Amino acid sequence: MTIRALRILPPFVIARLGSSPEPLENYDVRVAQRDPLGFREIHGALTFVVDRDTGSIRRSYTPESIRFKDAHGRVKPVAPFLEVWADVDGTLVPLTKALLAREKASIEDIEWRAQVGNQKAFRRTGQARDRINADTGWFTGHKPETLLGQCANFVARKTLPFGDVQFIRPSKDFPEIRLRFTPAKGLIYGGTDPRTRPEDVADAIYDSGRGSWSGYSDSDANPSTIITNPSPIYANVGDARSTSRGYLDDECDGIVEMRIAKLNLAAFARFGAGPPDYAPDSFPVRTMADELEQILLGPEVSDADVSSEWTEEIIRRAFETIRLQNTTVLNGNPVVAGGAANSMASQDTNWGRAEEPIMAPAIVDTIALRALHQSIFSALRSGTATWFGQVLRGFQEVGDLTNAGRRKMPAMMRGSDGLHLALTRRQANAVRASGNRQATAEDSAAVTFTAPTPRTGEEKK
Amino acid sequence: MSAGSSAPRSPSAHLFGERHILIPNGNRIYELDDEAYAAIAAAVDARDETAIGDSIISLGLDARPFVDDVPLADPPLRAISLAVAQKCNLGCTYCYAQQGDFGGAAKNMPLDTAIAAIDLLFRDIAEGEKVNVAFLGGEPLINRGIVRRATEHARQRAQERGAVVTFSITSNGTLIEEDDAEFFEMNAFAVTISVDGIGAVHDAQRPFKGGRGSFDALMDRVAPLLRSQRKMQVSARVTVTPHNIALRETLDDFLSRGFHSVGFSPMLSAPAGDSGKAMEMHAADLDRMLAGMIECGDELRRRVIAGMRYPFMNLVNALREIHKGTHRPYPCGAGAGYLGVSADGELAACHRFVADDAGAMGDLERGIDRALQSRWLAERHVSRQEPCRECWARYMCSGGCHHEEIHRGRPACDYIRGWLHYCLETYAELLREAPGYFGAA
Amino acid sequence: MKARPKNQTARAGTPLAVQAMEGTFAPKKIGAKSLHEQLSYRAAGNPPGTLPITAISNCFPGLELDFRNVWKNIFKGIELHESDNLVVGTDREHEPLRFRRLVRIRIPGGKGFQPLITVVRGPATPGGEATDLGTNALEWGNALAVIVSAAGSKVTCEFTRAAANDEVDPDVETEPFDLEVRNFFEPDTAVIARDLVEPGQLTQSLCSPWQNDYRECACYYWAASRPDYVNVEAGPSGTSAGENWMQVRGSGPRQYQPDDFQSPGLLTYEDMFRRWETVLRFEIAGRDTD
Repeated sequence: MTIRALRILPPFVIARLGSSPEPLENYDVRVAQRDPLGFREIHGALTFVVDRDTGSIRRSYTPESIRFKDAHGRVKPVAPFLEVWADVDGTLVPLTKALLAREKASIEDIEWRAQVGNQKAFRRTGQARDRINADTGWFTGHKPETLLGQCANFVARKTLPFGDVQFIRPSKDFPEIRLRFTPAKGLIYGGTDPRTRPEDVADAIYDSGRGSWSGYSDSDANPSTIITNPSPIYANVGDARSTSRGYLDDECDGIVEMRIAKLNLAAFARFGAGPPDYAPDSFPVRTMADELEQILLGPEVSDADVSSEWTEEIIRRAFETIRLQNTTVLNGNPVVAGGAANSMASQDTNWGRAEEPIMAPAIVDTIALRALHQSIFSALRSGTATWFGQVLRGFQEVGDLTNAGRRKMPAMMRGSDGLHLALTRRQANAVRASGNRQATAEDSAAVTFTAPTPRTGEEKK
Repeated sequence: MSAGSSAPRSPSAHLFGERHILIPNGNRIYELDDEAYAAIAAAVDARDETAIGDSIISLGLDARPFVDDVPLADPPLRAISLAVAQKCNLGCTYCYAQQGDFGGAAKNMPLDTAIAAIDLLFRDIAEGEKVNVAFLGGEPLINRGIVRRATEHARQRAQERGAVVTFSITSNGTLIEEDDAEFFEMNAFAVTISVDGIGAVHDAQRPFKGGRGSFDALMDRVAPLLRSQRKMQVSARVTVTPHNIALRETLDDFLSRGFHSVGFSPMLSAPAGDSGKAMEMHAADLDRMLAGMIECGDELRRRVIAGMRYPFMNLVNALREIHKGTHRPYPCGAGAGYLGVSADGELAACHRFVADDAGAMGDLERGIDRALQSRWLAERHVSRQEPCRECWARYMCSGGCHHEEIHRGRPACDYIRGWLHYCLETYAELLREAPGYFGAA
Repeated sequence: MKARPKNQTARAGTPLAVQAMEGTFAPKKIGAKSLHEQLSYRAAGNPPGTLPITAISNCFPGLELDFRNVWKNIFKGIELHESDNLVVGTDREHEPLRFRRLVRIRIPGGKGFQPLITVVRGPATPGGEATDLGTNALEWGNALAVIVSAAGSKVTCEFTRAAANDEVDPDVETEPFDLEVRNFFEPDTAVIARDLVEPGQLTQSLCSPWQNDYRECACYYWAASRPDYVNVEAGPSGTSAGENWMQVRGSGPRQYQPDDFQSPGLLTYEDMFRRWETVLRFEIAGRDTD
């Protein structure tokens, strides 16, 4: 019984910025048992309290309630743990001190390294000197290792802090091998020229004399098509050219890796730091989990994969987005107060499409849409919502801006191509397949348990 | 009465095996620890629904309703049966079709009716979807030409749509010709032969119209089919009456003759008349039948644990559905995704309701009568059935065959529960003794 | 054990990602080949906000990440634009493909073609007939889903015959090139392959700074992460009344201010740069809860 390989789990983890010194506690999010379309419930879950100096887990507890900001109104950062698992005879189990000892290795043999980057300025200017990178180098021990972003165009000795990683010291109560990433505070950094307003930024670290990020404009890109889509999406002075102020944030993404040289074992995982999730009891209809799952398992679904719970979850998530949208306005209904609102109806006019509400204006109030989703949901519960599969937008139909096309689901949302959103093909196939699974047997025998069936063809040998 | 009996004591929990529980909501199965089992068994024995509910919640087994009380609305059509010949060359004593003509004039289905029915079936079918076309009668092979041309037409429609079509036929076997084997094989038919026993036992129930026994004739005709099964599957369906309850003997004999599988079904509702009524199963007969089913089931257990095949379909199917946790508000697709079509193009809830107003669903010319259908679906939902609402087996049996219930009521509930209880116990045992039977655990 | 699930309904058809956030999927061992379970795993102590299911993937451009970037380097030798069918970079061997457009891909296994361009159609006048309004590249995520399984082998990609700055029609003349598909995941693992994206690349096309996005973009399509309509009550006519999440609270009667960057009732860029932690509210059950 030997360790064949190591893995860091989860393979991808997300951190969220915040300036509070207290990381956000752990919690579970559960569907309300009695109200499947109600708000999900947030319940405290096992939380580790890490001693920043020693790297030990000082205690663990389950919070009674969760607050997302601290007593001073600062946002609590989401600081994820990454665990090392060992492949022992084809099964992954958490790597522990005891397991290492069996291999004649110890905690001290474990080395870590984290590398992150922020390439937002580089993505626009195309200048390699605008890449911001941080690298802890290989390290052992349990001190926090800061990730200080360095950039050739920074003022000498200035860095952009992306947070830190800390190898948690294993103990008798918490023997597993884990690392914690604590992200940055959510600060903005600027340049050494007057486009930077001191009140906006934590520090002026970008040398505007050397680099071109301050003063950059998407309109200068050559060819023009290499710019980001959408564009321009950077802090700018508000002129017609959208001239950049040269602002940088402390988001990042990168790789954390570990190795045990004497056992010739290594592993890596990815992580990133983004903004807080401001509606933690609601989930987007299409998520990175859906993308990764489609890539891993393919766009097709097998019968064994399909479940009503999966389809319900897709509808629940569509509803969770709709519920936090002013669908009347986003439908493109004429609005009495205020100017023209940004919506898919108004975005579609960029194509020269006539400006028209997407749905019949009377039915799109948020509360009316709730009733609609509830009826879809109960139809699904009784296994009958086959028509729902037919009203889904196909991934190749995103350019159909006719009213019939725009009314397909998910409605009033934008996809990665700027057109109307389609689900992943795997999600859509799951919805369609679950609609196919209703009783169609030609004889009571085929589905009831009480009599034999002439048509099964599925008997196991 | 011990906790593990099949009696209907709680609609929300059923105990079986050493310490297993079935939660009818979702037909979920759990194994409990001794303490949890004892607590819930005491509540079930005391018929204390409040305490049962509390136990379920404290075990974390409560869940949103898997099946609600809302009837199906406008279900898409996915399967049809064509009564291609409402006539028969046999004179079976218990026939629901009353010797094949459904109590009316004997007739054959014209080709354009068969084609219209298939076109209706394919009307809303999308790429990749699955449909089934079944040929029934009377005796469908009386109208062999239509069976073949309808099959061809359905294949063509399926190809146009990128859909998958499967075929089945239920026959008395006496009219099978040599080249039927090739045709059924080529189209991967599921062929069901109605055969009620060995030799004289069969002959007494299923004579030719003139009174002569049909067993030898049918076995001669079926033998070439049995030999050429590859894609095609030829199964035996045994209608059990008070006069042929030797199930194990019948099962083993038919399997040895090469049938792909064998299933039994009790005769619960025969048409009026002394000869028909003498064929209906009553409580004492059903007790004997249950004993026979269990005898067959015990053999299946032995064989499966030994890694052998034993296609006793009643139990094979039940185990599969129990493992999946299938739970449904209707016993079958009749009147929903499945409709029967009569020789003259009337639509019925299923093949048994052909020419029976109780299951009328419109006709080919005007299409499915959605008003009749929605009334049917509302009335036939298991939540509307008594005494089903109080029964733990309600989402397994789902109220039982509509045709039998409408014409005779529910005389077989104890038999059904007894059988399902046995199936559940077998499931628990095989999950322990032969988990590979259910695929990867 | 109190109750151990036995059959499939008891084992729950609930997706793993949901079980992870509900706390019911927390295995003590995972098959080394069970990559879906590894991908869905939530480490001890991690709140659900760490899971990919909380990160939006309709990335235009995205919030946590711009996931479109994972496709930039899926073909060896060329770099694609994250949001367009344009070749923005190449190695020396593929230099002739620079700034050409990828029009379609031959699906491995003889399963036809995957077009990468869609025609945009709709009425130019209210209630009018639909006409062609232009073309647009399909998003990579769905269009390329079928080629991931061809990793390590070559697929035939059809490009425009010359560099094309503007969008092209789907039936434009093409020239085929065989390109090798990279591994999406590092072999035998569920981690995005090392050479597919470099540190900083998954966030590079997001707003800079991200705070800008909350003000700048019409972010209504991310409402489950960045809400739009909050503190909603049923109005007298059975319809709803509530506030724009980006609205300054307590400044007047509760009335939704449409997202319009000139409206005085909404948070400003300055609010976002200087006070985002204070002015942005967490929404629990659709109501301001900090």
